[in-house]
Amino acid sequence: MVKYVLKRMVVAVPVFFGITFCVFALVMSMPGDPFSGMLDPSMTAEYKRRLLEQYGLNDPFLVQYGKWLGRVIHGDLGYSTAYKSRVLDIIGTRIGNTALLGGVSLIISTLIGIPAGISVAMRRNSLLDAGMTIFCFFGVSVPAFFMGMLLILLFGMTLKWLPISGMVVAGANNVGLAYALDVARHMVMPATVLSLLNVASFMRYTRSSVIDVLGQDYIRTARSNGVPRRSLVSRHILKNALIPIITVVSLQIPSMLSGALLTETVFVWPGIGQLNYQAVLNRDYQLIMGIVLVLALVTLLVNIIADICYAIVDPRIRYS
Amino acid sequence: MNGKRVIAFFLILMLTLGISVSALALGDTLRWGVYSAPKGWFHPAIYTDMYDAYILMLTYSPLVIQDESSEEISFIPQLAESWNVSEDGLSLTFYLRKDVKWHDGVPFTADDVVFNYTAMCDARVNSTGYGDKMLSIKGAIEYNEYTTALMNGEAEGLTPVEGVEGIVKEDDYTVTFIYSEPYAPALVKFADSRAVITPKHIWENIPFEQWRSSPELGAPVGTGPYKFVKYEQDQYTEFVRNEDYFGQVPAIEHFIYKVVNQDTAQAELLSGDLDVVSMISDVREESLKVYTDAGMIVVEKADAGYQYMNINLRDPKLSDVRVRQAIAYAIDRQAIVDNLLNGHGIVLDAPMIASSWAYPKREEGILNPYDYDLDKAKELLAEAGWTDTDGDGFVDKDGQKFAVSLIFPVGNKVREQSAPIIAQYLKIAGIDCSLEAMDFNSLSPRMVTGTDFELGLIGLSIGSDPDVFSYFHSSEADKGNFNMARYEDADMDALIEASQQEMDPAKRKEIFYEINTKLNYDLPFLWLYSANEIRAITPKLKNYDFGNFWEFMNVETWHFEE
Repeated sequence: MVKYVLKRMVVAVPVFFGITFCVFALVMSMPGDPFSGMLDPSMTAEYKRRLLEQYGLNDPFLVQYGKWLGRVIHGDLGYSTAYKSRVLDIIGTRIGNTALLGGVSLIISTLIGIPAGISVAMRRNSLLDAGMTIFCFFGVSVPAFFMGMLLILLFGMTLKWLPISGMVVAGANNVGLAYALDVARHMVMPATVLSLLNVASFMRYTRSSVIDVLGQDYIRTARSNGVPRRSLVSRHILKNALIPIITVVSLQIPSMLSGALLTETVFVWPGIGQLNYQAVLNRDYQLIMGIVLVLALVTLLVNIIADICYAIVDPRIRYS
Repeated sequence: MNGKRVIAFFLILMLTLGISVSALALGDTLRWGVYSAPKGWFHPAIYTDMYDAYILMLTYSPLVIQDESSEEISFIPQLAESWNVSEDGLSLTFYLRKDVKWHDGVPFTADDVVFNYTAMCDARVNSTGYGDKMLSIKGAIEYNEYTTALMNGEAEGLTPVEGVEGIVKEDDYTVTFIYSEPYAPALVKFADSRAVITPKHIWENIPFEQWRSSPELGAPVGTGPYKFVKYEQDQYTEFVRNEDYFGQVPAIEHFIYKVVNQDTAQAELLSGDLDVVSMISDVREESLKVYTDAGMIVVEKADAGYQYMNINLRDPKLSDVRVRQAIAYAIDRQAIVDNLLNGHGIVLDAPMIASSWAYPKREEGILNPYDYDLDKAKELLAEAGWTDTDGDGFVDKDGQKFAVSLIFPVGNKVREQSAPIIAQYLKIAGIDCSLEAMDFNSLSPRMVTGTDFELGLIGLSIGSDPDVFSYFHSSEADKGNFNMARYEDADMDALIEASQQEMDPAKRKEIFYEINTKLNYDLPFLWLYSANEIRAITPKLKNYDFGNFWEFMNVETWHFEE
């Protein structure tokens, strides 16, 4: 097992370099540069040339990639042209916000989606099952943007229960518990929007996986032997149905970190999705690369963890 | 049931969180919402976009600001108490206020002014203000060249240049700027957010090359009505009023610049989370009605900028003035203003602010308004040799169909919507126009270098002086700047130079009328419309107003009344 994990990590290294090289090539081939958006009659061509020189953007592509890689190996992700601070610092503040929002909604959606999936699978073709199926279609198909606006209209504007945007009340400068409460209030709506989609997909996967297991011979045997329902679910069904669920959940983690762009935009949540989008618009090369690097690392890591989880829940899976 | 318990839990959570709302509300605070975040480049020599400029206007002060309520060009004293221009028009002297303190308590003097503008000329700072404001000042170019040499390590053997010859400190509260030749827009160059004064005692301690990466860049110390408190990237920037402000001390204690989403800002204003929503671009009647129906106040004024269609004059088809005039006649610009802007804007006849003294008004009958006239458009195209010989609906010449591509940036909703309408108008006139949308950073290199570019939509905000040097002087044609049309005309060059040197306002006005008449005929690009600037505010906020060139021109008098 340990050997397998080590092997996976070794394989991850060339994959990792491949990802960064491809993304670097794509990013650099975008038309424009970090300063082409600054059209200003008072800005001379000389001024722009100097800035490009200063950031080493006049070098050939391979030289730039080499320099970038050299810095990364020394733990330096470079410098953002748009924010004028170190990429690592910027990502550091932002990834926390996204992880908080994504983590909370992942926990909520797992806690709701999986039990709900099991319970509808056990009552297959009942009214509840049909109702939940409709809910799932709704959850998967309603765009996050639209859902966010609906919540804002209801809880922000009409009922005035919840703040509409941001992460804290601007200028309140709360600390301690008051701060945590403030963030929690601001998080209710975006977390609900993010969770809705995941609840729906987790529930669908759990349902079909459980139904699959329910049709197996050993379940029928266990049932006919009078195994109580509670232990049937936890010991026989869930354990066997978990493999596809782990896959779905582990696929969600990287996309939670990178893909909450719409939700973050609607609620002006200062997270990594928004940052990434702005970085692309600003042609902030080092920042784009920094974000890609972090996300690639997370994805590779989550994949390895998922593999380990498979082996834990299913002793038949052995890695060698 | 599991589900019910979960729902109940959430409802309780929402209620408890909801109850704590009132406890967090602030007292005397103005929350000013805008769609984009400042980047944190709070220095006049370094910032590049208007979101940072807003912050400079709150925290710093310039020597003067323009009096926007006046028809004629006039100025309001700020850090300068008074000023005068010498008889020969070659020098401009500012007499500074003696009671001004920086936000950290240090007194403001002439040294700050000299240091500020000298640094603007320093190549190591690489300021965008150098090309705009400093070129005509005596000795600025020499100083810039010398500091360039210093920066490149090639200064050995050169005679050191200690500062800019034309920036002279007369005494602790008097500064004179000396020009190489009479320069009419001199005073106006000191009246914008790029001309605000920064403190010498802070910036002199930082090597010029490091200004761009210094922590001071994100924490401005100025002389303005509000003191900087805190900058939360992409969330908000917080200010507190400057109790020692040299003007009237602001009535509202706290000021929050909040980043809001364009689609939800309306909801935030209505729910009381914001007091001012800036830059409303959705001008549909039903959208503005939401504000007024809820008792909010909509404030509107003509903008200091306009949208235009850039034309590549080096393209053989478009270099013919008759073709450009045909295009102008073929596009019903008034219909665009009526339908897309719901009348919240105007059609322009020249590339200037319509309210400017330099802009000939419609009733003067000097400029051709190019009212929609399809027949005239076709006639001009035929004159230029373009007729529909093969009956495919598009005009052709020498067997070539008239096909152009129109590129436009995404972002500005009205501009995005106008592109297909313009293409349709051109098709009706027999020009096959294809569309290409892209983000601004992809578009601007194509326009600036002139490659792969025929027609393109773009917007411009212009300074308070009508000077058009950067847009239409031939020397700017290949500099990668704003003469993207590549307009080169010796007569125009002479007129522009004369307009810069003429100190007499009446004569200067005449020159600008001539410039506009010529531009109106030549159409180096086609000015489309100028959309109004719209803000929405809560009715509790009194005395609110905003300026085109100085957004917070009366911020100190804003106050709340229940």
